[in-house]
Order: sequence, then structure tokens, then C-alpha cells
Amino acid sequence: MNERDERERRPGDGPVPGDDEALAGAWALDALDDDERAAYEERLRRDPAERRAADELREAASLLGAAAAVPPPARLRADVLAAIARTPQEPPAGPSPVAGLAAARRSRRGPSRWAALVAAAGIVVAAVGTGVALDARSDAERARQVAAAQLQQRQDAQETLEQVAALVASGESVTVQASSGGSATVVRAGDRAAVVTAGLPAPGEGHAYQLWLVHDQGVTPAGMLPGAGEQDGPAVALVEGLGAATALGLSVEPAGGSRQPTTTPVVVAPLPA
Amino acid sequence: MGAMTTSRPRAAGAAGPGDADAALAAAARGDQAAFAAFYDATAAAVHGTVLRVLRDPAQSEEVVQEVFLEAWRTAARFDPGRGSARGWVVTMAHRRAVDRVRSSQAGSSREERYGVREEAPYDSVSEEVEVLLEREEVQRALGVLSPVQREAVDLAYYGGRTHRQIAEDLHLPLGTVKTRLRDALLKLRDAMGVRS
Repeated sequence: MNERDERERRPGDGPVPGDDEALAGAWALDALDDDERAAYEERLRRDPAERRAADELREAASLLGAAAAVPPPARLRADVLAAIARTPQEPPAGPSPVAGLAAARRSRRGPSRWAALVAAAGIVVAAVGTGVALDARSDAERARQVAAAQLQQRQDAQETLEQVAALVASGESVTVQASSGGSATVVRAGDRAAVVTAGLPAPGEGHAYQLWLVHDQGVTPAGMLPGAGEQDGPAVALVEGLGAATALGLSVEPAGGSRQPTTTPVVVAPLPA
Repeated sequence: MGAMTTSRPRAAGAAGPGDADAALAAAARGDQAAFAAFYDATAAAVHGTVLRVLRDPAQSEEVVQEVFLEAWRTAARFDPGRGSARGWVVTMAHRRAVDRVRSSQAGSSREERYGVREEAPYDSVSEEVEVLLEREEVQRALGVLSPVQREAVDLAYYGGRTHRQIAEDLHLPLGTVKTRLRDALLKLRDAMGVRS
């Protein structure tokens, strides 16, 4: 038995190896249940160092597969090659901010919707390129007013709103017209972004607006946007842990939120670097 | 896809199908011949992984086919900065196989098939030799694991058990299982040169 081994710390393996830290092994071996896996991958998204360590463990785990190698029957090769000849590929990610959106197609439930979004995002970015310079100041001003107004109304979210207001006052904003009507203004500062929406239509009974981060690993939930679509009023949210996210999306989801978008997002705003 | 970075984690010790990366990169641009090369470099690992977990040749072939179709469709998403192409596709295969095992359908009849012959017929002597050599090399590397580490890792990877189930199977606290799995992979990583 080698119990001591299991307690051994290794330099460079990250700080305190708490429970989460130790999850990397189970994750790499696909030994987490679905909920744990989702939670841990959320953490990976926010923690590049942990992500890197986890990737290494996953590469190591794949050796267990290599150790079990057994060539498949020859006809399988013919079947696979015939099948790919009939199967379109998803286009590669390019170097622009839109590139990360290609990863949006990872969404299992709505690949075609998000694929369409990539095309739409091209238009968005083009529009931003020409229009945002003119609008940025007024949008920032409007967003600042909105954030300030909300600040007074919602004491429970005071801290968040203060941060949003600070962000809006300091950063460069991008405003995107929502496909459903209304708009969203996004301001990024480092690893955080403030989102201010206005004039979004009501999400419908039992539904709410949910934010998404779009990055190379796919699309991940970025919290709900409470108040959006109510009485045409503005709504404000602070999104943290942007990491390598390249865009922020917004879609109507069941009130409790979804793990992946289940409807066509009404907004995909590129995140300024 | 940019050039490969120098700091990628990868399995240097088991880099038999090292061409898999280049082949996959070309396949991502629609090159079907390159995809065939990628298949040749990785099919044994993918098939073996799935077969080991599912223990059913027919189902395994089905999953292998699904995996390679997905690999073809999503080849452009492969990020060489995060690992090898073979690791990528084996991970994909393992995930699918485990999903099947955990679904009631596959799980219910799996134990009955436990004794099924695992070896599929080899297609050629050279392929057999190549696969056996590489497999032997990797298996030797697995020898760095302590018996208890090996047991836990086998239950997880080949058995498709969750860490909770393993804790029950082995009558161990969950925390012990977590760290055991993690430490086993750290050891394996170091032994195989899967290192940044």
C-alpha cells in the first residue's frame, strides 16, 4: 500500500490541493457525475492554471486508452472514410474576434442555431467597426445613467451595480442591437464585463434572459440577467471570469437557466480584448 | 490553427502515432486522405478504449464510427496547445463509451458480456506488431502505478465507474479516491513525459 504517495505534494501543481484540486484526476478519467463535471469545467474555464494541469492529466489518462489498443476490423475504416466523404465539416476558427464564435457550435442542443450566429456575428462586428466609435460615448453615458439609477433601486445588488457603474465609466463599450428588439451594451475591463440591456422584449412566462460566454472551449453559462425584458426597462449584470472568452451571448431560457443555450441567442457581442 | 507551441502537454513516451497531429491539422482543412492517415494512427487506441469500456464488439464499432465522424466534423476545433491529437480523439471516445455504459441500456447487460473476447482480428501482421509494440510500451509505463492506484484507475477508466462508485466499491472515503486518482495520473504524466 502506498498511502504516503497519495498525500504527496508536488511543486508546480498549484496551491492548496483542496477537494476541487483533487477533482482533476476524476475529471480526466471521466469519473465525475454530470453535475460535478459541469461544475468543475466551469472552474477550469475560470482558472487557466488549473485548466493546464487538468489537460496534462487528461493527456496522461488517454494513455490508458493507448494501453488497451486493439485495431478495429478493416471494414470499419472503409465505413468511416465513406461517411466522412458525405459529412460537411465545421469551418476552422479564424484569427478575428469572431473566431471564438466558431466554438459556439460545440453546443450540443443547438449547433445549427449557433452556427448561424457565427455568420450573424460577422455582421455585428462589421457594424461595431464602423458605428461604435460614434455611439460609444452616448451609449456609455446612457449605460452610466442606467447603472446609477439601478443602484438606487436595488440595495441587494448594490455592490454589483457599483462595479458595473465603475466599469461602464472606465471601459470602452460595444453596443449590439438585439435580434428581438432592444439592445445590449457591453463594457469589458480585464477579466470582467458589465452588461446593460435596454428595451428587450419580455422573455415570456417561466422564462428569463441568460448570459453566455463564448470561447474556444464552447459556450458556458455566465449567469441570468434578472429584470431584462420587464417593462421595457434596463437590466444590468456583472460577468466575471471572462478568461479567454471572445464574445458574450444572451438568450431566452427557462427561468432556472440552462447549461447550454436552448434558443437562438438574441445578442452576441464581441468582447473587446 | 496556429503552429504547435512548444509548451503543450503530450505523451512523448508513447508518441508512436506522432503524425496524428499533422494529419488532423490537414484533415481540418478538408483533406480526406489526411483524415485516413489520422484514422490509421489512432484507430487502434480509439477502438481499444471503447471496446475495453463497453466490452461489446458491435456497439464498440458503432461508437468508433461516431467518434471518427465527430473528429472529422470538429477537426478545426482541435487545439494542439492542449494535448496531442491522439489524446483528443481517445478522450472523445472514452467519454462516449462511458456515457453508454452509464445509460441503463448498456449498463444492464454489460456484466454478462464481461468475459467476451476482447481481441478483434488484426488486419495485417505489421499492424499487429506495431500495435503490440506500442501497447507494450504504454503498459510498461503503467507499471509506475502502485497496485492501489492501478486498481482505482482501472475501475474509473476501463470500468466507467464514477469516483463515488469507486469509493463504495473499495470501501474508501471519497476524498481518498479523489486524491488516489489524481496522484496516479500525476505519476503517469511524469513517467510518460506528458509535461509542459
